[in-house]
Order: sequence, then structure tokens, then C-alpha cells
Amino acid sequence: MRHLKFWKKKKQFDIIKLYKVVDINQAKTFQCKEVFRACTEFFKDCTDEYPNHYSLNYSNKSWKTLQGFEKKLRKHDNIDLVWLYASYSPEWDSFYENHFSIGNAMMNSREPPYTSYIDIIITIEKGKLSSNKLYQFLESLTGGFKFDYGYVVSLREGFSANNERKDKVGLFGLESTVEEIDLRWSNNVCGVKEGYIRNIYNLNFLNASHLEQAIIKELMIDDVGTTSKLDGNITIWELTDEELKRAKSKLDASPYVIANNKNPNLFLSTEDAKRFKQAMTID
Amino acid sequence: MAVWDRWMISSPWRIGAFRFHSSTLWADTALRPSRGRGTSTSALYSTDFDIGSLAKDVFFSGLTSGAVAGIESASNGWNFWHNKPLLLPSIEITAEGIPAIGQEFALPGTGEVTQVPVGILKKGGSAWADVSKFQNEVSYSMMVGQHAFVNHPVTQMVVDLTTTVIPIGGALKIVGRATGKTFLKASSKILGTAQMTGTRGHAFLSKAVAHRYALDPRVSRVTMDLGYRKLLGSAAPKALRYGPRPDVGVLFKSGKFKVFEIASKSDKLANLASKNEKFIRDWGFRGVGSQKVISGARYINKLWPK
Repeated sequence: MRHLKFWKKKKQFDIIKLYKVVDINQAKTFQCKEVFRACTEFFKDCTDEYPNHYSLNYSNKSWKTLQGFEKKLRKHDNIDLVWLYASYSPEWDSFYENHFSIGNAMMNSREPPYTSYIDIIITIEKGKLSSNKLYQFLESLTGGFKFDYGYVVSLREGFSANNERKDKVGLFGLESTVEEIDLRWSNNVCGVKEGYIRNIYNLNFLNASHLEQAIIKELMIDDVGTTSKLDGNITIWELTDEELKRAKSKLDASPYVIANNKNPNLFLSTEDAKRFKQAMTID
Repeated sequence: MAVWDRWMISSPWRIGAFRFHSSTLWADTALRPSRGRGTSTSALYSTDFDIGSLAKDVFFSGLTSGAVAGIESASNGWNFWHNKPLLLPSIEITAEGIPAIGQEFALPGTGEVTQVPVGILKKGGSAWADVSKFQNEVSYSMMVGQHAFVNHPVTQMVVDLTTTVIPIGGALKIVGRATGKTFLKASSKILGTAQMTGTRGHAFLSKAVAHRYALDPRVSRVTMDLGYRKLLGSAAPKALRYGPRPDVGVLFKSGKFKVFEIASKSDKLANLASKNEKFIRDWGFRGVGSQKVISGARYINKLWPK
């Protein structure tokens, strides 16, 4: 019942989210095991601990050691790995802990959609993640996993790392919802290759199409945030809280924000939205 | 004539979790001793049932002693309001003086002859041991002659819970049938069986949650330890290779759904939440859903390990 100990200071987490848009061939050749190893080392680097809980493909079965889990992974090909989850928490009753997950949703379907995405979500307690470590990790990743879009969001304990909203916490449980806005994002992720973004955050990893997009270009010209190159494809766009507010006010009126809370119809009314959804969903 | 035909028992009876009004036997509600001369608007009852002598005796003795006290109290009221004594003979009603139902009897002192139209149902030959005592506040009313009304609580009543007792009986039957039907209907919504784990309370909580939602009229289907395809039917994408099997899944008629994970001792709470969220989001089910992780079984198991 750690979540109910209101006198305890709430932890803050940095959540790194990376997305890669893939077709069936890219999904099949995704080196999931290698990426998993890289994530595990990064996790250890940040938290000084290897995960003590591993889970695979949504099953109820779990492993407590890296050795045991790797033994299990060796029995699987990369195409059989659709979701990997690893976490470390010394507390037995915590809903919020350092963890990471890797998802390759396309490989979960025998009748896959035309386009899908691979996502990596890493949640690390604030203070344990430094920019240097992060960039080193991202550079090491781009060798085998060239992601198309990503961002880092800071959330307090009590917020879901997945949907970035506050969970409903009760005496013996926690409830979180998947709402239309979440589905809107997952059904249109492929838009990130055409200049669309989920939303604007303090730290954004943008691809070339984003830099060509009029509003982001304009913001960058106005010196909103600082940019630096991660590699040939990805540009890091870092914004202070003040700059974030300014950027948000502009982007809220833009159809290029997929998870736009204020004006969801701006994106949904575009022809692109229909095209993306058609490409990413199956009937 | 009509001396005993205007009784009323109207009291909320409380048995177990059910609470209902036993107005089926008598429906006369116009009996107010404070109104003195008030008239009875109706005197309804039905007695097409049998009565066990033991229960009858206890029932009547309670009623009688209450009646005597009530009549005395009503007489005092009468005297007060009308400033003249109530013209009533002395009333001596004892348990022995109460005849069987339908039998004619003369009210002592008045000579009026009437029939006893009350009774309680007692099915089968249950023994005294089967009879449970309840400290119910049973208020009943009685009219004597054309003038006096009493309304007096009987503090102890004996009812037979193993059989059906009127006025409880009729209502119990109705409630029982209705509840039985409701439970039967609710159970038919549930697919699958609760997952058994090494955590005490896991299966119990799964069943409790499943039945709680099965009773909800807004719910069309409840699954236990089954996948999303079984829960959502055609709304779920076909041909998925892997997927979570939530402990309880609830599909509402509106198309929304809710899944519950009852955390067992080896589960990581964050993992349970994550995998369902991720799965629902990835596969864009037509109805938006929510997921809930319940950690209650872990605490039960912590206090009382299996």
C-alpha cells in the first residue's frame, strides 16, 4: 500500500519513449534481443541494479534473474518476441517502479496491418538519469535500432507511464483507462514520418520530416529550445518550461499534434489522419 | 361481529440482508389510537395456508399480551380525548383463549362471536429447534368493537426461517425466486472459471468481482481467466498470437469494457497494469477500456499465507 502513504514524498520518474515505424519486413528483422540487452545495460547503468522481474509476451509467467530470462529468450526467435518487460523494485507492493518494455506489436498478429510500430518505454527514477548516459544509450541504439521519433516526459508517481495520465488509486487497487486519445496516437504513429508529433515535451527526438514541418521550423527559427544532432537522422530538441509553454500554445492550434487534448479535431479532420489509420489498423 | 377482523401487522422485517415490508397479510393502515375514533379503511388478509401449532401458539401469545397492553393504553387515550370512559368490558385474552384459524369464538366479556382470520404459514413439520428467534419490533394494530384501536409493538417474534412464514413467507418466496432468477441470470453471463494460484484469496476475489459485475444490468458478458477475444467477441482483432488473460473481464452493453487483474504474490503490480494498457492501446479495440489491478489478495496472503 505504498501508494497510499501520502506522507511519503512522491517519486518522480523520467520516461523515455522511442518509436519506430515499421512495415512487415522491418518488424521481422527487428533485433529485439540485442535491443533488450542494450536496454538492460542502460537500466543497470542508471539504477545500479539489474531488473529483478522479467516477463514475456503478456504471459503471467515471470523470471527473477537476467540469466534465467536470457535462457528463455534463447529458445525464441526475434519474430516471436512481441512484448518484453523488465523492472526492478525493492518494494513488493509498488505500482510505480523503474522498468522498461519493448514492444513489436506487428509480430503479434497473423494478419498484420500494413504499417505498425516498435516502441521502447524506459522509466527511470528522476535523478538517476543523466543527459550523457541517455545520449550514449541512444547513440548505441541507433546502430541496430534507428528510431523515428521519441521524447522524454517527467511524471510524478501516480501517473501512468503509458498514457501519461493520473491513475485512479484506491485502497487495494489501481485503475487506469485507455481512452480515445491513446488509441488516436497508436493508430496514427506512422504520421511521425511525415512531420506529425504526439505532443510537445521538454526533450524531443525529431526526424528530418519534423524539421521540415512549418510550425516546428518556425519555432526553431524563433529560438524556442535548443537543437543538437544525435546522428544523421535524429535531432534533439530541448525546451525549458517557459519555452515549452510558448511552443504548446502554438502547436495546440496545429493539426500536426496527434494527441492534441485541446483541439483533437484539428488532426482528425485531416486526410492524413484517415490514411494513417487505414494503414495501421486491421478490421 | 367484526371484532378480530381488523388486525394489522406492518413492520419492516429484517432477515439476513433482505429487508421488506410484510404488508401482505394485513393491509389496514388506518389504525391510530391517538385519533380515538378513527375508522379502519380496509381489512384485507388472506389465509389459505396451514399453521403449525407451535409457531401459532408463540405467535398468538406474543400478539395477545401485546393486545391487552395496547387496549389498556388505547382506553386511556380514549378517556383522555373523549372525557368519558371507553365502554369496554374487561378484556382477558390469553394464549389458551385463542382459537384455531377460522374457528368461531366469543370475545370474553362481550359475547360477540367472530372468526379468527389470521394465520401464519408453516410448511413441513419443522421442529422447535428449527425455529429462530428474532428480536423484531413488530407493531400490530387491533380494533375492538367499533371504537378502540391499539397499536403496540411486540418485541419478540418467532419465525421459522427454515420454512416459509407468512407474512415473511410470501415476500421471502417472491424475493427468493426473484433473487434466484437474478443470480441464475447473472451467472449465465459469466464465462470461464477463476484462476487458482498459490495466493490465498485470489480465486475468491476473482469470483467476487465477476459476480458483482454479472449482477449489473449494464453488463452483457463477464469472463474469468480468458483472453480478450472471448471477452470482446468480434470487436477484438482476429489472429493475435499472444495476449493477456485478465482474471476478470467485463463487457458493458455500451461496448466499453473493463479488465481486472487480481495480483498474486509473485506478480509485479506495475507489470500487470502495463501489459493490459499496452495491449488495449496497441490493438485499438473499438470500445475504449480500462484496466484495474487489485492487490487485495496479496494482503490477504501476507496476513494468512497459503
